[in-house]
Amino acid sequence: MLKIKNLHVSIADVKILKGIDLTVNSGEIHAIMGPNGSGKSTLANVIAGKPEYTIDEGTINFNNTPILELTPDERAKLGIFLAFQYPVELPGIPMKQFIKTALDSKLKSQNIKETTIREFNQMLKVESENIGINQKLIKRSVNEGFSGGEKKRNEMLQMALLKPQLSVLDETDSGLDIDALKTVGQSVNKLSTKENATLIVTHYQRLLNYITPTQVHVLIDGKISKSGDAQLAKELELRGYDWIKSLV
Amino acid sequence: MNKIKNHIENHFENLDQIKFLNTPSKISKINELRKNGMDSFINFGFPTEISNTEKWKFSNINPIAREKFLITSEITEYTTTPFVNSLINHKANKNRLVFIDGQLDKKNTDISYILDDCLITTFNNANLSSNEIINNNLGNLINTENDIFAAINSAFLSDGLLIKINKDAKITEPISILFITTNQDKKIATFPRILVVCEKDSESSIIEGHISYSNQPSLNLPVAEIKINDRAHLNHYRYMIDNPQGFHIANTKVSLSEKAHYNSLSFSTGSKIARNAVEINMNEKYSYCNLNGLYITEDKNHIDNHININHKNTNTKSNIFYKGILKDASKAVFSGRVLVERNAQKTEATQSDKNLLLSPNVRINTKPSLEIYADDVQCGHGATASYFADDAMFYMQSRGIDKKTSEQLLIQGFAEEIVEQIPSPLIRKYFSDMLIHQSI
Repeated sequence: MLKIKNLHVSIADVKILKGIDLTVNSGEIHAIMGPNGSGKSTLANVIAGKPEYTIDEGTINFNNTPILELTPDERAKLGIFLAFQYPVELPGIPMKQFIKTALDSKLKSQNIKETTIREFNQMLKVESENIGINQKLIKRSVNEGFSGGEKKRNEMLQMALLKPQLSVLDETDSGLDIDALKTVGQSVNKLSTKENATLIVTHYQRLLNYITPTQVHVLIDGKISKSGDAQLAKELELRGYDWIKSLV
Repeated sequence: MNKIKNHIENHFENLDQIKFLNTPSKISKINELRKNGMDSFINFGFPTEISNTEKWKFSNINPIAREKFLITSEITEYTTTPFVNSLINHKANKNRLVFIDGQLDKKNTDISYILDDCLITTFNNANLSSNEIINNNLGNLINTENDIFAAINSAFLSDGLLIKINKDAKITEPISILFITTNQDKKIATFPRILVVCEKDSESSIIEGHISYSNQPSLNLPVAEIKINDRAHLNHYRYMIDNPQGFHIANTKVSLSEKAHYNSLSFSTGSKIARNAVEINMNEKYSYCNLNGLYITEDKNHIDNHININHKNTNTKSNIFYKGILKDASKAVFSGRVLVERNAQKTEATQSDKNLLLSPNVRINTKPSLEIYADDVQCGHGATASYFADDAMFYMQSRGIDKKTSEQLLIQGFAEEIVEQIPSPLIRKYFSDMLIHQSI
């Protein structure tokens, strides 16, 4: 589904990613782990199409379509979703309108009839209850005045409603309490099918207590230094990133 | 008289046909104001010379002086546009007075629902007791020597509107006053004049709308004087939708007594040159004013919001929250001056002006300022001007919302922060509908 080849990325002339190769197939969950500053978030943002990065070399294909030239919304319509590390507050834009506009854009691009307001409200109610979002938040502007945990739950709500083929979670677990962490884990597991895939970017192993990854990759200084199965994450937790660095 | 006419005839046509200029009003104050206004106009001339002063630094008003305008004294046949019709007949305007090209349009006016709690009359139809209110209050808040546009309004004061809200009255439905300049292929000048007196402990809401859909340069110089007595509460919703060639220079003057409360919303869009000058005098303790505003400029519009708040007594509180959306090659000016006098201890004052710039060719001059002579006060001010925030754009696009729709949502959200300040759902809907028509 996702094929990244020899990806080199820089921002303001500083090289961040220095040759990433990564293949994620349908039905898989991949975890990208690494210390601060290793380029994890850059990788997540570049997949989603954040404009401020310069692609120096390499390709990203999504279902055999090269996506590096596509705008973020075009990528989203193909089925890529990024759960933000720091979800953005959008004052004055109501939650319902925002999510419905996103959902309708996607349906429209697939030539599927847009949801009626009644259908949408029903879906929103069911999913927000599943994820444990207070109904009062649904009436507010997007993320405005939400706590850190509420913002992350809101990302999971949007993910559940948009049903992406590839979900990229950028440090969704950071700053979360155990309950919220569990919700994130459940959301990912619930959405996981044979047809879609998840890429989890995280600093810590603790989210992986709830989600069992197919593969774990360790990113050090812009390169994947080691890949393995779920066991690798547990080993990292015990031995720390210096252990990998010593192997490189 | 001949000298006067020669001077004024440079700027206004058909003065001979305007009866009121040579017919004294039965209200002595009106005659006095006309004379003083005319004297100022003669002394200071049309406002080309004042463009150099600090007060007019960012708004060049010379183009107004280059035109010659027509003052009408009766309503001629007119047709409205569907949008103007929808504005007039909106549910929010159930109690309404409609002025067409400066004249009261009785056909469109209906105030029968609310007459018990207030007094509404044109100056010309005023009875003896109303005359007394007009004589006692009209012109008290303006200075025909200092403010040339208020002076010109006074010089050409043919009729006006008195609204007195009775003591203890609680009027939930708004009173709407709509001033409409029609499309007559003429350069029409209008001088709307409103006098509002809110008696003690009253509560009321006024919508003041100025709409021009003329295809010619039209001139609108409104003056509103608002006196709010002890513990009275007034919501004042003001909007201007001007034609791209129109000129609109408005003066709104408010005086607040003890614990009086003035809550306003100002929306402006269109116009070649527009200025909304607002002056609030917080004369007595515990008075409160809350001013929200939104301006949207496009093409070559120029909109200037000029606000003065004078804290003159203790424990007074003011809040200014304005926002601007600037498109194309338009310009906007925001000047907010909050003065805290020496004895206005425990004043609280905040002001903020935020601008969203949608083109590199727009220009905004924003200048919030504080002048404080008391030592125990809490004051703050700030201004911003920015393009779309990159992180917000990326967030929205990452959800599959295209660039254009994302921008549209951000503009709408930016404006919504002002509209949501309106407490009444009906009036909020009125302004939302207005913004939807402006593609916001």
